[in-house]
Amino acid sequence: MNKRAEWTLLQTGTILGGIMVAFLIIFIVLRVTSQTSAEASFLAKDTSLLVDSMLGVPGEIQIGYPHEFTIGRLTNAYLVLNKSSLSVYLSEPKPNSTSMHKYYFVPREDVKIIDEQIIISTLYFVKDQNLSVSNTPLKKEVK
Amino acid sequence: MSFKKRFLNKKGQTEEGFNAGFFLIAGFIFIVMVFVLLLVTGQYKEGFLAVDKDVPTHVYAYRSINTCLAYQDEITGRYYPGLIDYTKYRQEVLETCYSDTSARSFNIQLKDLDKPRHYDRILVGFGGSMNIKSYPVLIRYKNGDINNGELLFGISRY
Repeated sequence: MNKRAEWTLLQTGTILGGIMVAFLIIFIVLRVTSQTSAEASFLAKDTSLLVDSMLGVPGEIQIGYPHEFTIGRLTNAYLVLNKSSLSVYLSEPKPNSTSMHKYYFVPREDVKIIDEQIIISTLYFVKDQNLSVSNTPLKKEVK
Repeated sequence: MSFKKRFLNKKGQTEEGFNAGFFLIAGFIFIVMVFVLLLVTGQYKEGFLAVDKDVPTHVYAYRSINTCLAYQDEITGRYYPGLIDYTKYRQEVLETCYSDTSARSFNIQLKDLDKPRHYDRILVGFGGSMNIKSYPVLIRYKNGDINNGELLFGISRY
């Protein structure tokens, strides 16, 4: 305060700035550590490791990733498979958008990765000459 | 009160409290706080998503052992996991097997344990590796000989 004990703009700005910073920090922490975010990251990492494993198997293979593994709070979330990564989006992805929940796998030149964007429910990963993911089984299930 | 009166004293100097230094220090502290926060939350996330550090090595090593380098019967098409076809042990084959090294690179060494000079190393990508694992294999040569071998496999990120 100045000599006449006036409230200056600087003091107001400092307090408002402090409050804004506090909210920003809380927002970042909640966003990164929320259950939804954790599940999305887990799903992206788990499925990218699954794809890496499938690329190490000779012949054809289909793996069902059950709904119970993927739901949690992930409703209306999307899984995007492309050339060398798997991403999970918590809402429908916009063109050229990047996900916080993205993990890379190492592709093989002799197995073509089919780009897919599917809603998250039960997932079926299929590897033959190509590798793809869908919500319905592409191959007949063998018991 | 006008802006000039509020922030400048009679000599036209900045009044106590309002100066560029204050905002520089506050901005610096803010940037450091956000940086530290992102680092800590990132570490927290990586912590609960962590898998055993050897899992990726095993996954990529078995890709070579089970498919890319595995001997394949020409008539039946069957692969023999664990039996390395030495004719396949070439840079081009391994670069096809691990075709994108932007996230990881590979250090692959094949040892023939039945021969005195038995080192044969291929790097795919940058090739540096901190953590090399050993996998027992059999090596099948073009003439049909089969020797005991060892595949040393390391991966790195860069």
